[in-house]
Amino acid sequence: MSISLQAELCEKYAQAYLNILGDSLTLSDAENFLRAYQFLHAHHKITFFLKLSALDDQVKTKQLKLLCEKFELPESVDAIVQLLLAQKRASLFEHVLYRISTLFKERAGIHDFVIQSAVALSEQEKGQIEKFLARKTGQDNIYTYHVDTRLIAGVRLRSQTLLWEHSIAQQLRQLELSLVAKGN
Amino acid sequence: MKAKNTDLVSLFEQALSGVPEQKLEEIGIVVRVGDGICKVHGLANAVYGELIKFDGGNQGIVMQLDEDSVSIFLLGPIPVAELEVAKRTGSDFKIPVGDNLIGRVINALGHPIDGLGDIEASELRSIEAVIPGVIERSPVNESLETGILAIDALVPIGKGQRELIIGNRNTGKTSIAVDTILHQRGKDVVCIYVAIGQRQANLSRLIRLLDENGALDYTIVLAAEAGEAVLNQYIAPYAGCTIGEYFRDQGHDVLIVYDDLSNHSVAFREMSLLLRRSPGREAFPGDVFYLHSRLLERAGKLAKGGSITALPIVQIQSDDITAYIPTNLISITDGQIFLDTKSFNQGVRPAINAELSVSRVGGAAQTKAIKKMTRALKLELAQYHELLDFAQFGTELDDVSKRRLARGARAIELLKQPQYVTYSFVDQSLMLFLLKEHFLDNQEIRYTNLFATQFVSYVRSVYPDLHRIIAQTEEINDPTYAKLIDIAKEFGKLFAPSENM
Repeated sequence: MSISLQAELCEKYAQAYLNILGDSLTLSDAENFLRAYQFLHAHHKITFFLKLSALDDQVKTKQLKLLCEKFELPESVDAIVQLLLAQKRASLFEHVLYRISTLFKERAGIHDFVIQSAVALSEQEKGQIEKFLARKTGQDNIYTYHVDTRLIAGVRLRSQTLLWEHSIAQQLRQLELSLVAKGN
Repeated sequence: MKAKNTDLVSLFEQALSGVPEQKLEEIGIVVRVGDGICKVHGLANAVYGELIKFDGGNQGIVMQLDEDSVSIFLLGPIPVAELEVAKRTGSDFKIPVGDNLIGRVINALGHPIDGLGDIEASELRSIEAVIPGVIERSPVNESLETGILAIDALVPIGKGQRELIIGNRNTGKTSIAVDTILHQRGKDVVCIYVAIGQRQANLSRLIRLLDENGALDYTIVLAAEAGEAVLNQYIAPYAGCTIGEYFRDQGHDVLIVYDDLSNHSVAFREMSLLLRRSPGREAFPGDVFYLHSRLLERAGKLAKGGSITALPIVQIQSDDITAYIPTNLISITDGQIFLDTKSFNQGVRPAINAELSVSRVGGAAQTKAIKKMTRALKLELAQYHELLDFAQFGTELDDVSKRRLARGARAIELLKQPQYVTYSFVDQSLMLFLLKEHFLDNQEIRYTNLFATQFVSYVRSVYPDLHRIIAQTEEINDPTYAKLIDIAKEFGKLFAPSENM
């Protein structure tokens, strides 16, 4: 299966799930979906086993149910597990989880902000940034903090669709582009 | 390589002193790049035609909006990497316009490519403009002289007209456009030459020619050469037209040459195929008509003053004017100048085919002086060509037909004109007067042009008042006409061609 077809199928499963059962989901459910995806992504062997046709569907169901329990996924996920198994596409489970999480956030207008800073931020600074982003996006978002020394100084706030940056690295990049454009 | 003196420290300090914007930028992620096009996920609010900036320095224009991605055509050669951030600018593509563009050679982005330094623009304008409505327009009734006798006499062009120049390769299409530009010297017409998909050598020759003839004083050359990104070739005519609109809005008359729209439609076809749009006739997409109609509809004469006259050029194969793009353009424009390979090879230059060439504005865009002299010329030429075909069978012809043939041959000879030599409307009307009043009938065919040009010089030098009156009134009234007959008789006696002339 090509990557684009796989992505398209995952998108469709995720859309179908959210269209029917999306109303009962909460932001913490979406976060659990993401954690489950991250776990599967880090443990390729599980997805590999799901691909094995020799393995009985009951074993696969048991394995997936255990995963759902472990990551506190809502019971409604069972419907999609059964559907994927019936259609011999259990290996897509990992990416379907990811798309459910991202699509839910997209539909709810929640941004997953990655906040990079040259040095670790204090709690007060974090609060200021979160307040600024909440004001700009009009709601609470999800924030993840990273230290990235490549910024030299400053911060970079980035979600899938929004960006705000004020850093030395950015200023240097802009200066370089303007000098190249002028032929210096 | 000489290093430029750039104070990096102060530039950097200046950059840091700026206050950061409070606005969040809308971004997308590049997921696929290739063939000058890239697919970006995100940019949910991007609109068709919007300018997108990439982190790596390149820019592009949104050309297709899909369910979860946008397709962007790239403007420059700077590489774009997968997963690179693409930012919305919130505005469509704009180019710099202003008086300082005159005399300069620029690319489709409005950047100078003549090595004469930066251009200080008056303003930035979107390349897609609102087409003037019917109320804002005025009828095309003012002549735009081309200086080419065959055109001004047979297919006159008016200010605000769209006249297509059509012909096979190497039939003198560009020469006609260039001669017309050269003739605008001192006539307060701003000329714009848009080169689309041309070879650099040809373009360089043309720029040198314009410069040597002083035409760059009132001309702008906008070039999207064959080696440039396909998007640049696509936007070049719109960019040229935008510059023209700037001058038109200031009340100037503008002449714009699109050389040529065949290359433009090929560029558009390439883009459409890359965007996986359904190919139609000749693999062109369904909206190829709109591609040119929205460009050429921007030409016209405004009631408040100012006009844009468009001379689009289209190349055809084996005289086939029924191909897709030529037929589209013929139906959009207000007439066409058809250049004939056969005539060109017979030495008739400009090789204008009088039967297939037409100006839908016609006499309304002709000065009265020329109009008076050319009433029957087109018919006479048609009769001549018909008789010529008949005479080729070796048929014995009556005296009337023989006279018509002789007269037609002289008319053809008179309409021949060397390249880069243009005539004013007074000179043209005097030449046509000779033909109309049969003063050329007794001359040998090879002396037709010599007789006509020397007659014009004679009138200008011996009867300057008469020449001036025609120039001022743009008309040849009855007393002037009678006087011209006397002058022509007088000159006929003096004319003595020598073999080495």
